[in-house]
Amino acid sequence: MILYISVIHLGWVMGKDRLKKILNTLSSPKIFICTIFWMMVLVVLGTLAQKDLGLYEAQQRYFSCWIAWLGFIPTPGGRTALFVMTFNLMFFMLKPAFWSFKKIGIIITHTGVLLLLLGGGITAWFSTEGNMVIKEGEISNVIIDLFAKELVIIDDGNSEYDQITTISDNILKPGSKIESDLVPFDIEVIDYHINCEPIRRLDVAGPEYKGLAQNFILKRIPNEKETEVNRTGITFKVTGAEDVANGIYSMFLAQQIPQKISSNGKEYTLALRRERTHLPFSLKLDDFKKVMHPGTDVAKSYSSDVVLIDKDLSRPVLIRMNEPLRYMNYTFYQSSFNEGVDVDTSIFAVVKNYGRLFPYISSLTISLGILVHMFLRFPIIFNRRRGK
Amino acid sequence: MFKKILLATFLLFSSLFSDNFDSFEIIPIQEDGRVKPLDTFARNQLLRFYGKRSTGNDISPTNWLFGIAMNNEDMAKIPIFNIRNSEVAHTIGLNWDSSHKYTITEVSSGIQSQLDIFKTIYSKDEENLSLVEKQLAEIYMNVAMYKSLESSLSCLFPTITIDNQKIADAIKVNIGDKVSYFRFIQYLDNMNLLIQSYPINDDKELSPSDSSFFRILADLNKVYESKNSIGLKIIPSSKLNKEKVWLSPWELMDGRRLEVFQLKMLLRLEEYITNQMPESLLLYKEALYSESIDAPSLSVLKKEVWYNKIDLFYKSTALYVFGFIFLCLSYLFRPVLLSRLAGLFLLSGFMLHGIGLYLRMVIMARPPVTTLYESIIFVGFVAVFLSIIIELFKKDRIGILIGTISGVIFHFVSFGYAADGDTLGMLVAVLNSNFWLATHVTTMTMGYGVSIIAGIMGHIYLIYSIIHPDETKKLREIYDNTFGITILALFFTVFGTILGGIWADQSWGRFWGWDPKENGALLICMWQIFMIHLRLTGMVKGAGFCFGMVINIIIVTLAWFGVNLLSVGLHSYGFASGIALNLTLFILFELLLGGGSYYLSKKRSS
Repeated sequence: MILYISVIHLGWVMGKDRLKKILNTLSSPKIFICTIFWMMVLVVLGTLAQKDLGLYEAQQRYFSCWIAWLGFIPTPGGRTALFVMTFNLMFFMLKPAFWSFKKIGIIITHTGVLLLLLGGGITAWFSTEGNMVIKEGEISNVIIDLFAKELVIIDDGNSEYDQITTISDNILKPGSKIESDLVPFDIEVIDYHINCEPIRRLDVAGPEYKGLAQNFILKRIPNEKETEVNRTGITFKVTGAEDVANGIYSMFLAQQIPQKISSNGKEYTLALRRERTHLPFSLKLDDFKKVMHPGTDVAKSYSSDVVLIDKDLSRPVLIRMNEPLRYMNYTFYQSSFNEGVDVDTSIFAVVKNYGRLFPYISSLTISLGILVHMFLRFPIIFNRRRGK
Repeated sequence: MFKKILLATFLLFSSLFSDNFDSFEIIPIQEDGRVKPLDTFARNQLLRFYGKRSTGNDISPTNWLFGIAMNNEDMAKIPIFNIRNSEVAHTIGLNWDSSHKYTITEVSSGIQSQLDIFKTIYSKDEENLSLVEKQLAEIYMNVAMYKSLESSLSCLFPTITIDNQKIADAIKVNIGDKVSYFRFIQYLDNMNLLIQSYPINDDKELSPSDSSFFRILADLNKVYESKNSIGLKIIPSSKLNKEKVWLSPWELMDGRRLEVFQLKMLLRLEEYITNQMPESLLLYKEALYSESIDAPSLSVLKKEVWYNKIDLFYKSTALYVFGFIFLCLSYLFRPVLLSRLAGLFLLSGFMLHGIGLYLRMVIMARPPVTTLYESIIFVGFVAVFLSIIIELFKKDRIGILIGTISGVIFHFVSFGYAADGDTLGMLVAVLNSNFWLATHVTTMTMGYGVSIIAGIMGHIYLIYSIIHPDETKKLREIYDNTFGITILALFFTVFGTILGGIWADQSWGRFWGWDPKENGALLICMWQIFMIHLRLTGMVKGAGFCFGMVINIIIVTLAWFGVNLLSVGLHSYGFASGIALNLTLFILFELLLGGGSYYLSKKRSS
């Protein structure tokens, strides 16, 4: 937006003719034609790549990026293309010739497209998504991220509360040092793998290796097609704790036995887990129901009876396929489930998206625009025939 | 002329109202989660064994099925197993000839002789099986299914002769009567008492009464061996069962308390098996409709049987073919009369096409498009509809040409998909939403249809410009029409794609996920937008734009069928093996035809 205004301002300062020239260049339909052609190439490549890379990885590589690498050649990614398209359209709309009543259908359509593109941008930058997993009879207010991980250091010495220090995975890079006043020891990351496999050591490890690292080495392996099943692992060095505790540790995602480290007479629990977000309200799952088509094992519908608890207020809600719960900018969808012996577990996809309404408005606008254009345009086409 | 069409339609429908209560065809049965007439069930079995939805001779599917269940020996002699692969036939010791059809006895004895092979196949993972092994496994399953059908009513056969007074008293029949297994189940308490109190004396030889007692028990045991033949789920569940799972006669033989209507139905069926009197069947239906809570609508069942028999889509294909032939002839002589006739054929084919779609909607109680098969039928319908509109406006035979060609092509493609299995199946939970199926899916498939019409129009422009490069006015007209249809197509594809995004936002929480099917739809939209802008900026003229619309056909087919080959993402519902080759051939053909005519057209005009 700032870029947009500053280009116009620059043109203004340089004089009317110059402004016209700049506008003509920036709003040229040729830019659009080239960009949409490139976008089509990206869509084809990105779709084909899903067979080998999986949906998430292909999306990251071709669409949700500024630069898409084709082999070792950097090319504009999906974000760049859409960004250029948006700008091109915005400059095009500045041209006086665009605003003629005869072109009302075209004007409406292009406004709708602009809204769709802007909404896409807002969604891309500001939306978050994760999962909420609740067993029947239990309460939860935690959203678990599907992709991001965090290293947590839990001080559960206090009976009233746990003090949890979290380190987000975008600073968990080999060589980075983490020092904090909240934790009495320092951590230096040695290795961080998105996907790894613990391999049993053949030799005897040195005394500096502690815990899991005594018997196992984390070996990096290629990422899985489905990002959710990656087993993320980390190896790090602890300094500044008690002498017995200083050393090299390894941990992986959802490890069964937690890693404890003692320092200053206190015991801290360390874990690598999916990033969590706590909501200001909670859900309690009363019952999960699955209805099958009679006599088959094909599901007809899934639904969850939940109670929405916000401070003193609580009300029952039914969440089912195609009918989500919307509350305070969050939307809860029936996404998946685990069937247990006695209690089932329901899994909700939770999305927070400020750009949600854009597609609704823009689709109406675009369709209306094309319809208006068709009604204005078709008589001309048919009259031409009759006129012969 | 219109009156005649009305009359023909009425005659077609009149068979709907004729009373065929005395036949088995509309007896309801539950299969794959849906209650359907026995006729459909029998046809599905035939499709599995024989590869067609009929028996290949005069016997009706229902009679064939009932013949098997009644152990009619004539039915067992019908060669119903169609083994297309000679290698498979040789493996189980059958002589493969050009007809390659075999009876159950031939196939099952063949399997018996090669049991080791089947054991090896079943020990393997499904992914590692070769084509022949997969087909062998399928035949094995089919034989098992056939055997199960054979004994699915055996509990109602009066095969056990009662020659023991005590048993006769217990089940309240006379000595010398023949009774069924079911009779014993009705007097289960008496039988249990009798067996428990029966004096066993080891030292003495068996008295005649003892031996008849034990023989009857042995007979019962023999019948009981087929207790797992539970394919014919023709009895509704009790009122307490909330899941509405229907049951087969054998499942009701476990000594449970039967509902009155269940008991009545079984008794009527038993009666029918013994005396073959049509009255028993009437009473059977009466029992079903009097008390059962989930008895299906009779009129819908009748419609479905009618739909099965009449083969509407074959008839509409024939009409489209006739239309095309008459149209071609009209270019040679008597243009007015013949082209009117062609138009009439197109119109009547379109009506049958529409009736078929309507019946499918009534039977399934859902919008017209839910599966790949249905999308093909529907796209054909939209294409023909649009061609008729074009013809009404333009009256220059181009509409009839497009309509008949697209009607025939889409029908033929759909027949390939119909052979894969039951085309009236139930839907998985995500798709089970009539609102979104009616809006997003219908709009999107309409977009496919209109896009393809624009492409065919493009073909016509290119070919016409080669033949008559000087008729600029006519060419200009076709070009304008192509452009108009493209805008209409863009409306449907854009609106349909965004509606799909909104459905995704409603159900999964994301508007856009770059899933292959979404990308395919996006690609169609972008290509159309791309071509329209190329035209606006003057970068393409008539021939270029029309060639672009031909390429648009390729993009539509890729988005429609091609993405299912990738088998990733939420939309890969279609069964797609074997279509890769056809798709490639089609694309090459289109590229050659489109590209070639574009080149020639450019050459002629310069």
